Amino acid sequence: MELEFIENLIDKYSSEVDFIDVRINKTSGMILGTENGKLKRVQSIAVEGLGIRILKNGCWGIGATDVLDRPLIENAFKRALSMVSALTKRAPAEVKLSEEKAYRDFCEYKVRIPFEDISLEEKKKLILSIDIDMRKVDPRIIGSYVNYVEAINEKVYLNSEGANIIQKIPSIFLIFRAIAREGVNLQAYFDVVGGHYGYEKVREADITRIATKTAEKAIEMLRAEALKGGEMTVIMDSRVSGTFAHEVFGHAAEADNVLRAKSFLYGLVGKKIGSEEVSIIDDATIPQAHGSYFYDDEGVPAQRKILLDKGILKGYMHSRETAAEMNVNSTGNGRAQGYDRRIYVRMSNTFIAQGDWSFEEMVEDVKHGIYVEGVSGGMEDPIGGGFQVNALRARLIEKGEFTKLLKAVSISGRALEILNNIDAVGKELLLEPGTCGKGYAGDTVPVTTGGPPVRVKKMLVGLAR
Amino acid sequence: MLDVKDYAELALKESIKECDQAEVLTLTTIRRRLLLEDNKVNYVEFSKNSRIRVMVIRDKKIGVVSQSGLSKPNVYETISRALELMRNSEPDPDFETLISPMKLSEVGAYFDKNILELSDEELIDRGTDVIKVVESKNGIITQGELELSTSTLCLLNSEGVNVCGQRTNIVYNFTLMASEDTNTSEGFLMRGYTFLEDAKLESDIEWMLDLTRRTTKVKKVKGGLLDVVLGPDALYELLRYTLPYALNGDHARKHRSPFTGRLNSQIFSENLTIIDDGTLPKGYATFPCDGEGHPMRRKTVVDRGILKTFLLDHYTAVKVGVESTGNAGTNRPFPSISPTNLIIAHGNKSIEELIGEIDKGLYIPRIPPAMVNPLTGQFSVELRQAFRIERGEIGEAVRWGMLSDNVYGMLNRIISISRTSTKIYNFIVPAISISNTKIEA
Repeated sequence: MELEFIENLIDKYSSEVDFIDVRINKTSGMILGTENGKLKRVQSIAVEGLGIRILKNGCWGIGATDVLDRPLIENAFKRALSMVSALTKRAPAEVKLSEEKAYRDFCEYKVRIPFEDISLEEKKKLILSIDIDMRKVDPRIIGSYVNYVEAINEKVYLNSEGANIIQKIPSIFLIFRAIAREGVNLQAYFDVVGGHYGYEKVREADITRIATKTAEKAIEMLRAEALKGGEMTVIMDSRVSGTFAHEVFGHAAEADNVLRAKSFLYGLVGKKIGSEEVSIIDDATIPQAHGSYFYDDEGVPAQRKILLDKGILKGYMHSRETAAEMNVNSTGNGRAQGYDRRIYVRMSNTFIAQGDWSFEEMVEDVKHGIYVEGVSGGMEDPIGGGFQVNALRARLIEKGEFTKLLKAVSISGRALEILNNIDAVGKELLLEPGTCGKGYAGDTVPVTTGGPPVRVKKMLVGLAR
Repeated sequence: MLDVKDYAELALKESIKECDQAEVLTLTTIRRRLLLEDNKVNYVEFSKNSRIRVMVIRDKKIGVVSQSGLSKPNVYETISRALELMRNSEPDPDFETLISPMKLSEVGAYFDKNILELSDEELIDRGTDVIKVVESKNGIITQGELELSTSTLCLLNSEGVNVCGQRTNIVYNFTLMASEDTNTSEGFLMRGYTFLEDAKLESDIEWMLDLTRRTTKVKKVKGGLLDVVLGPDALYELLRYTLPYALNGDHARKHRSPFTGRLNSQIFSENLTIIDDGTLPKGYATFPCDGEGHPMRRKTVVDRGILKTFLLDHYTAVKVGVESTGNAGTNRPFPSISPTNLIIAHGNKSIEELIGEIDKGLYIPRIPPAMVNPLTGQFSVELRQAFRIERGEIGEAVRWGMLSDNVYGMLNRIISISRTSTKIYNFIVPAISISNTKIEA
């Protein structure tokens, strides 16, 4: 890459502005896909581009190009400068950045089995065997799909303060999906395995078991019942509790939401807002978890932050922009979906800290409630403190025993009430890969969703007809 | 310097040397975007992105590679990798052939030079004008974006398809906050158009701000089976993923659509007619051809509740022995099916008349993203902006409950449809009233 040329351009334009940084992303990878026992997709993807961010008189100007040759790179600098100059004349703003150390570093997640060491033939065989395993479970499986994704993401960060950071991050995913049909009754289930690993991740996972379970759960859902909703005790599995920690609390603890008074956590640092059973952590340093990184997209090192400590709010997550506004340091949460997208305050791996309850203990106390499993989506409402998660399925609990399998449900409620109504947190911690959206189209970043199982004394449950 | 068409022609010429058939798509998009935060424009963005996608086919083996950046080295690298993947893929027995050139449709306008020619300064002024409107009414744009883009694309295949064109778009999304006393409420507006003159920024945002302000003070909703009026934004949220899934001909062929085997039978209320029209003047998805070069068409998909056709690409149409409906998407490999401009036919009443027909129910102008299960139509979504209806009149705002029903079932219980519609991206949706809708509280 033309790093020296780009550093020279940063020097050249720095005298006219307050700050410049450059992000270069290069992602190359492969997608393989099956459908109903046949290989349907062999696809290669390559994305490369460079984005320049110029801060001048409190306004940001951005220029980007996806062809990295010298004239186009310099043109992107000029375009960013002309855009920001037009803006500062017409609508001056007040953006500032916190003081942070400028690092020069090279980091990479070591993999034990590089993707290129495994032949395409072996990868094809792997996903076809998974697909066939799912189909073998029951003739009512009318759709079986496996997607294999591998990618290497190389990220370069340079800025006018002297930062020069290169990160090389591999990703691998296996996504399992089964559709079952009986008459007009259609049901689906899915599972996913992955993270910042090499091929060892799929070699070491119990792929056959996951495939079989995925198909069995789709089949089981054919007999799921719909029950009347209402308020009841809810035990969330690891995925639902992770979505809860992320959607209900995490977004509200992002400092840009707090600064815009767009968070129910505004002004509550140091206050007790939840039960003593519950602590919530955002940790970007968990080795190879899908939301982990070495440096954020502003060159600030990844960190572990206790956001909620035994019910007491300890602080917010920051980018350099929000940190300057609140007169603190960045927490290394400034992230963007790509080289040409806005850097927002974003979560990494956000989860409820483990408790000391066994799953059996959590269930045996419940007189009437449900256990919700898997997530098809979640929606935050950081302003109103509302929360909604759609679970893939649920099981009715009556007098401490599982009784009926229930169709997909939605659980919702008010965040502060839920945080105070958590009365048991499980011992087992499970983190799974996911993505998080913020802003508008395209602004997604890798995160994990997961945590321990969590019991809430009372929540609103909606059951679709 | 080569342009989009030159790169496409070069890629096709080079790739066909080593395969039976080939298809090339090249695309460049120039995008300018303002971000608004806290009633300020503090972020302006310019980007030029380009992409090439090459699909090569030999003995029914297919290789596809998509790569960002249009340059000669990238063209050759893309072809080389596509050929390698083709050699390593399994034959697709369902693949017959790429399509031959067909007479393209006469379609309505899909390019607005005013978008291309609007200066950076004028774009910034549009953003600041919106802020003035919101500030004058004591609201806050907590987050917003206003984006103009111009795309040039070329689709070529080895059978002679050769289509190039330019499209424009204006997209805006705003998250608004309104407060009254100590109560706050959040509203969200999303719109996408092809022509600048269609974008009624100020009036759209005034409407959403008014709605947001009216939902700052809320009562707890009461549950039960209620008649509801869904505004166009709420209806769009329920239909945006479900209809494209359920009407997809590949899903129907593989028994994954809830309407598999229901062609020419009643699937929705007889009040409901749905049209897919890729020729619609100024439509968000309007273009002379679909994603594989088949002419765009206007067709009635659901006629007074009766399913008349599924949406098909050429690949699927050949399998089921009919003609393509011109709904090929741009994803590869095949099948790749997507709706064009999806029109829910309007009715003959005003929204006020829809509300006036309901004795006891809810008016729901907007819902958050609903995450409907497209297989079954089931969903539960939190009520955030809703109003009680009593004796045909809109009453107080309500919250803290869920609209919990089945989209496909609801479309069988339509009472009335409004005569006015709203364009939201590629959907054109009216307001509808629906009986016996389940509200959990």
